[in-house]
Amino acid sequence: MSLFVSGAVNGTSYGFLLFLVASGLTLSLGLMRTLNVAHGALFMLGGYISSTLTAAWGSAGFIVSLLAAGAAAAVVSLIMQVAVLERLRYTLVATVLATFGVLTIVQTAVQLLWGSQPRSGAIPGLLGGAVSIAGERTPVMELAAVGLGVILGAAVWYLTARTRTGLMVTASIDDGDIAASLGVNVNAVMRGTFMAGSALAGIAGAYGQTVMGLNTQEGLNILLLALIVVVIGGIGSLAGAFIAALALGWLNSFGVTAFPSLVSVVPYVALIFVLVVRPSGLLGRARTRAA
Amino acid sequence: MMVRTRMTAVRETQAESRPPAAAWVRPVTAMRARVEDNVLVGALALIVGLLAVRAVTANGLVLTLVEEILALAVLGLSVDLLDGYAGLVSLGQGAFYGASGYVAGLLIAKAGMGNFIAVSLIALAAAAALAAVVALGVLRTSWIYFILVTFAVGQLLDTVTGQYAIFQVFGVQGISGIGFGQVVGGVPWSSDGIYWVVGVLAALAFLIVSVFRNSTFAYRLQGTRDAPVRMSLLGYNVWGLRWRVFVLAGLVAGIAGLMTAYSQGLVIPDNFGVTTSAEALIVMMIGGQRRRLGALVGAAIVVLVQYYAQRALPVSWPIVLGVLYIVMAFLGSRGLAGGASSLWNRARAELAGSGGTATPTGGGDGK
Repeated sequence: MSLFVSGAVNGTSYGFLLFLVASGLTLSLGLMRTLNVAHGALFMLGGYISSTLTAAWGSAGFIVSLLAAGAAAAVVSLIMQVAVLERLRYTLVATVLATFGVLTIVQTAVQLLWGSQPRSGAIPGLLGGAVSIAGERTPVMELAAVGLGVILGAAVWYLTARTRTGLMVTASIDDGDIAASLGVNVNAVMRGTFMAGSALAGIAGAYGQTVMGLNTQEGLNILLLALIVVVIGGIGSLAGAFIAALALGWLNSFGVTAFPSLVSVVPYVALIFVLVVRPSGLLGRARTRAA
Repeated sequence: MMVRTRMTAVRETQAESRPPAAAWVRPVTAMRARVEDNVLVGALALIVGLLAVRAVTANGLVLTLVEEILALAVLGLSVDLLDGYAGLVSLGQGAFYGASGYVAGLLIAKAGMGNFIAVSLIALAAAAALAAVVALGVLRTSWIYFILVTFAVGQLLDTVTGQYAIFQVFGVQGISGIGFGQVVGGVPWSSDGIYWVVGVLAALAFLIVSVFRNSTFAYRLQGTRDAPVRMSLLGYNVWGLRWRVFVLAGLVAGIAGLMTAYSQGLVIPDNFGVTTSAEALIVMMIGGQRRRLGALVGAAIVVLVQYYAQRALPVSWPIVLGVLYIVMAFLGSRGLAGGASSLWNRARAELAGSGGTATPTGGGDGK
């Protein structure tokens, strides 16, 4: 029983973290119809910023770092978008290559600034304790992911489902040309969504370093997991990403105890399974139009 | 028969779209076309080039760099088979590149095989077989899903070989000591022997691609890329064509993987991963689609920039590579070679005194 509780809490926490990274990615993939490889680098950058601020100022530094990491990620993504992606007109191969270049640059810059050795994260006093859930001591740190995920997830859901801006985003994902002809400034929608999605990755990274530690290679790892979440959930679908992220989180946390040797291949097997059974993802719609 | 006519028609249209040339240019152009269409030319030119390099220098470092360039060029060709002809962008060619090297490494280190020909053939067959199986899954998807799934396949193999001790040899350090007692017929497995083994494998890959690009198969594939629905209405098996080219691309990537394994005597999990696949993609980007020479130029640029950047900036060199990637992304699908060849066409038109009708150099029609 206690194993079940800790597994569930752990998995939920991990799932929410994955959802934060994947939510920005699914919207930008849906909008721009191209892959931003640098998304994971922003997660990693956020982690390093957060660990430095937390180490310097404790809990206050951690709170500030959530904002700082989000802002830094948003700025990097805006520069990348205006200077490179818009000029490439989001063509598929060119964008993959250019964003791979950005990933390489950010990764090297982080190595130059913070060193290339993996290190443990800086845990603020705020998240230090533990509470009892169903008789099981649960670190506050893990619950924080759920809190952060619920707050940010609700904000994203409200923005996309209940506001005019959100309608414009959804319409542009559905059919950019028609949305543009109806007066939606698709370019502005793309910039805004891209920045917001990147900021979410940065914030997720700022939190993520407390549980996962720091590693300059983490950018690619988390990108891959987020992509798997996005594809399983269906490109452009927030709800799909949420379900897929939680499912992967639970598979991971229960897998660690049930089949420890196989746990790192679980996401790939899940991806292949979903694509064979339902190529457009759980909640995605099949797209007939070529990019 | 019908397809032949269509191919001829395609060639004629291409010929017509070229700027009119002066009388003295025409025989030269015709000869050039004949030479280019000969499937042996690419492979022979490559061997001659390798002979020339070897005649100039026996420096082991230079030879290793040449081998590295050749291997990356062949991997670029593999990406181009999919993207240039079938319109499928793969970010997972590293899977087959890594597979052949690992199979060769396992056969040598674990099965104790010492026959160069046998090991190479089994390794290549394994890469093609893996591609045949992977294709069943990934070809269910298209567009960006295809990129993502091929990406995941490569990373999956990277993770598996890096984390699991299957056969007690896997791990981040990979398999080392890949080599043989002799190549064939008493030729020693020396620095020179390896150079020629790698060269012959590269020539083989160029030969395969040359035969492919002149075949009806290649034209049908381009049909499936540009108008899949029409092709299937015409009675072609679109899925079958794509499956065949995926296996062929897997085989070519396997050749590249063997070249690297033999050249370095070592295979590592990274061979499977996205860094390898992205390098192959950039080679194709620089080289331009459907250009064999372009792949060589692209590979040379990537390898040499990496080599010199690494020497000049031991720590921050990846930044140079990142900038190179971004700059090259702006080339579009025609690549450097494409740009150069439109310049040549334009210059020829100027020479012929017909000016003004030269094909526009354009910014590329990347997708």
